[in-house]
Amino acid sequence: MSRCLLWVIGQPVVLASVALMLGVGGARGQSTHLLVVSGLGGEPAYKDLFYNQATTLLDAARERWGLSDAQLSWLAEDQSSAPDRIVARSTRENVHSRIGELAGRVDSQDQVLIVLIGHGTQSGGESKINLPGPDLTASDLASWLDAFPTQTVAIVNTSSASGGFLPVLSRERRIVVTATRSARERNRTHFGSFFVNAFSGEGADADKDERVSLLEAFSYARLEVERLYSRDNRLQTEHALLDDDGDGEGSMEPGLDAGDGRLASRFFLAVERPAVAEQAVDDPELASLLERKRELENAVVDLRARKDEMDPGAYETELEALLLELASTNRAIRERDERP
Amino acid sequence: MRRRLLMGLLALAAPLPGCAQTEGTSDIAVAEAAIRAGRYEEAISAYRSLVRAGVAFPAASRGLARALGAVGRYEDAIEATRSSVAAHEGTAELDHTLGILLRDTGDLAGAEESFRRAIQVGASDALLAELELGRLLHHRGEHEQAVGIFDRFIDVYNASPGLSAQELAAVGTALVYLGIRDPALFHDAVRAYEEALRADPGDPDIKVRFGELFLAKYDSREAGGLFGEVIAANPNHPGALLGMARRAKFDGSSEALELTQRVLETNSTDAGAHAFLARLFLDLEDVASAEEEAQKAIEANPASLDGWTAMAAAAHLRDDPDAFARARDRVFALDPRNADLYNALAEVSYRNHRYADAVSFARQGIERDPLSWQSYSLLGLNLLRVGEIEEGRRTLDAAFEGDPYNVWVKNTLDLLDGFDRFRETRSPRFQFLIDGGESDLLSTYALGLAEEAFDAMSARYEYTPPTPIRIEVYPRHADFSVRTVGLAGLGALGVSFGSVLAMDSPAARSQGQFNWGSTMWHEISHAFTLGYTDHDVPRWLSEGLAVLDERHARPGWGSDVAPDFLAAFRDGQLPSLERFNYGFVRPRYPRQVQHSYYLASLLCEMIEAEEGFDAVRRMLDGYRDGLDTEAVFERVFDADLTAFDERLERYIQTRFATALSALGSAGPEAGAPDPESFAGQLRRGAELYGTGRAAEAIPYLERAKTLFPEYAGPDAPALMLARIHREAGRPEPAAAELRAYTALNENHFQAHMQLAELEETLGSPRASAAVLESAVWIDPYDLALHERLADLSERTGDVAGAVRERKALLALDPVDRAEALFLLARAHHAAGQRAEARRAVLGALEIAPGYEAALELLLRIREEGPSDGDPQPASR
Repeated sequence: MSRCLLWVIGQPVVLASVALMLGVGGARGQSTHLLVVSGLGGEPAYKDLFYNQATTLLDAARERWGLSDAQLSWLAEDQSSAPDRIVARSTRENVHSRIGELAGRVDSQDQVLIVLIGHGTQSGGESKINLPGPDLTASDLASWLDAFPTQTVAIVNTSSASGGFLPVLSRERRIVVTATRSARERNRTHFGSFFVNAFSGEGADADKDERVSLLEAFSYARLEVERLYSRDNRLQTEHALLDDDGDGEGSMEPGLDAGDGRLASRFFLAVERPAVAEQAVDDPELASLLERKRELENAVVDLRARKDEMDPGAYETELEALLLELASTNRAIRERDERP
Repeated sequence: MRRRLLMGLLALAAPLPGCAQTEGTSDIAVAEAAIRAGRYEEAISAYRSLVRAGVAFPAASRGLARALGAVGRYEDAIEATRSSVAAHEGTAELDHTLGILLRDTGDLAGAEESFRRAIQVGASDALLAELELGRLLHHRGEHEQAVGIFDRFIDVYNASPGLSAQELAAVGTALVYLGIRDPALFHDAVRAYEEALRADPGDPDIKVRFGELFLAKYDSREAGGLFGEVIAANPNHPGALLGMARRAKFDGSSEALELTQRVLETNSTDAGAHAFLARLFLDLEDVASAEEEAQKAIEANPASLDGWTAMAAAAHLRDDPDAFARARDRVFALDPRNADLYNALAEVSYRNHRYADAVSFARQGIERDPLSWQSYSLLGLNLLRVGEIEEGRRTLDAAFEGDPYNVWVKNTLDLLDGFDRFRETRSPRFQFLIDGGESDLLSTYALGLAEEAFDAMSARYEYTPPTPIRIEVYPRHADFSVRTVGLAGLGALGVSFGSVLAMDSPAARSQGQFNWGSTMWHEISHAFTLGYTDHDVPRWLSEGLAVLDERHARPGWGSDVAPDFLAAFRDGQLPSLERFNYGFVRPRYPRQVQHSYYLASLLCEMIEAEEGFDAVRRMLDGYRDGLDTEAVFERVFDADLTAFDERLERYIQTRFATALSALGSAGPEAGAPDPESFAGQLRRGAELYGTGRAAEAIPYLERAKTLFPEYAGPDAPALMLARIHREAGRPEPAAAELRAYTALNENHFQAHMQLAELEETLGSPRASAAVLESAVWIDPYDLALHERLADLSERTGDVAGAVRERKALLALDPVDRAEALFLLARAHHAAGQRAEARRAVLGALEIAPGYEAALELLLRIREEGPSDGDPQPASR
């Protein structure tokens, strides 16, 4: 289903306000910065795969989620493959300098997403990703990321054997995603492709808020990896982890109710939906409706958190009442929007 | 505190010298070498010379008796032994030897007297005689006295460091008996046998006994190694050959028959071999041959418990209560505490699908001997087969405590532990147990198909089996295999124990390996034929009817004919009606089991086509009345089996006339086929297509199709023609080819998906949906399939189909669960199921409260007014 269309009883209806609610450029306040590092491919097939993953993610970030070019950086093995887009070769030194440069210009409340694409290994007790020249180690990255003292930083390592990065990088205000649960899972991974698809395709927006959180992207990719191995009747050789509570222990199934997942659920490429707010400034009635809508959505979330303590019948009755009011409010917003 | 062997480190580590008796060049050594190599006549001659010369006593006399016994000349052996006793002034040195000969020919009183005399007088082999006395008492039901004797062997071992190899082996055997009460002692038995073999590494009899211990403890590999060592040195060793035959039966190998027959070539009066052969025939449902062999065993040894047991089992299968009672009474006269009779009856009953009988017999086994762990094991496993899960589990726990080496019991208990993750769903006549991870998905389809099968077969057989029929569906093939036979590695897809069925889930195998719908239909058919005949139907008939029932259920279901089947028919490899079961139970070549299914189905198909299905019902009546196959054919068709064999041959000749004539001299898989044959035309067509000359390939492929229209292999000409037409943009002929192909092949997922796409291209969404519905029985986990089917159902107004498919998509645990729930709600709403629609849309909005389309649908459902069962929302 297209993001710009709303299916109402089988008929597509264009909703101007919904369209405007999509994440578009120029987010106020908090911004998200994306740094993609694609490492050595080795075989041509992997070079192509890593190239495609990087470009797909960067395209989605810009065209779909509204990040500006200034918010995007890409370091890659071969700069000549996309000279207009790749800012430098993905050497260890360039990664270091790019992180330093980024740390110097981001605002204190900004978010930073670093995505590592490539082949991973472990040697000498150190987890690494293969880059042109010296490899990048988890310890390197851990020390460089200290340059972001107030910002929320997410690192997604899609490489094989990436599980070793997680305990080294885990910190407060830090989200660490690895494609494998340990450095021993050394086979090629599929997590990266699905992770990128979560932002570029349909299906990852589980809560239908028109945005894809890092938690949603992780869950989507994890489930699709499971489905892939199951469909092919193969033993699963990669088990992705997410850690965002700083305890150095990743979760395979993070969520709002689990130890890991809360911070990732609030981490988006598109930080806000500013168009709606801007529009509401000029229309107090619409602003009131939107405010009521937000209250009701929050009330549903609160109710859901109390579900296990409630009588199922009472829970369902209360849920339906909230949702019916939410539906009426939503309809009113739409009718208001459709007024000439 | 448990008494154990005090196995000194020195004793374990230090290799003992070889048998002194075999060293040097003495005549006795020559004779011993001959007997160990299986040159029995040479050994007899050598020993006899020594006996006549009056030298090497008592070894020569003992050797002569052993050699004569090995070739079945028991009377000569007894006479020679008694002559030697007389010649040596009534010596007791030969009493142990004489006792064994008397025991093996059924004179148990004489045997006991001999053993006791050897012990009393203190013969040099008194310890061996003591072991045999203990065994004799044990097999006579005097367990406590026997245990007293066996127990002494531990003291003997611990007090006597210089035991001979045979004495050490006797210690091992005594420990095997003691192990019934204390399973830890089996480890000590192993150590005693190992020490015995260090003392005499070449003793074949010790190796055989050691191998028998391993086999009794379910270790086929170790047992096979020991039996194999003996056979390598002596290809005619009766004990090793029989051990190897037992091992083959354990492994399900067809070699068991041949190996047992080899024993009888050396010793035609070996009671144990005849009794074992009888058991093999019982497994083949060949009761007449079984009785013949059991009779031979009894003639050779009137006290043969195995012989009388086989006789009782044959009488039971023949439904002859008088003969059964005679045999049973004889067993209990010999051994009043014999549980093995009931264990054998339970096992034979299980193998002949009489699971309730198996339960009853195993219970009687426990009553006879409360220490018969085999009875507990058989009771537990068969209770599970008749659906008594909790009692089965308790019984298996008891079995495992008594015999912790039983791999069947261990595996099954592990499986039962995993039952917690299974979920139960029910329909009017079925109870499904499916893994929780796929229960929602599979139940969506399985319940409806099972009910459809029940209705179809009730009408066809004019019979309804007991309900509910329990169907267990296993996502791991190893679990299904354990549920069925207690071990991993079973090749089957499903099994029917009557009203309890078990089968592989589609997750257990790769896509295209099987059709889970036709498999379920097949197993339900067994529930009808087994129930109809009170579990007295030969396997070939039950399987043949099940395959035929599949063919009646859906186009393409029920095995299609394979070229190698026709080649086997042409080459006369298919069994006659009299030996149909052999093809299932003891296949002689790798594909014979599959061929047997198809052959049996053709016989059933012929009978239905030419005599009407009423004739099939009358056959089942005959089996239920206890008739054997010959009598059934006589009663129903007034024909003998040979005449029916000829009739079936004519039917197959006619039905596959074209394909048989086009088969050529070699099958399609063989190299360089006749260019005019089916295989030749197919190969030429494939070559041309493979080199880009598709248009030139078409006539060859068309010709191949004409020559063998039933061929549905993965390289079928129809499949290749469909591809050529699709690539050339000709959807009509491509679809026609795929329609024909999928009407023969029930497993080819891609062919179904391509045909569905073509049908849609050709403007036939309903036909497309029908093909996709067939494909669900090949691979229900394919998201794209369900999405297409849901979409087609919605477009063609099949609201029930749309709901089913949306449910399936939800059951596949989609990442976007909110959307899946919303689309399900929409399908329910379109079907007028507002209560279900409300529940589904609330589920969607619970996940995604801002989901606008779902909010709008919820509002609309409420605006349409409440439906039955809807609670009213609280006012806010």
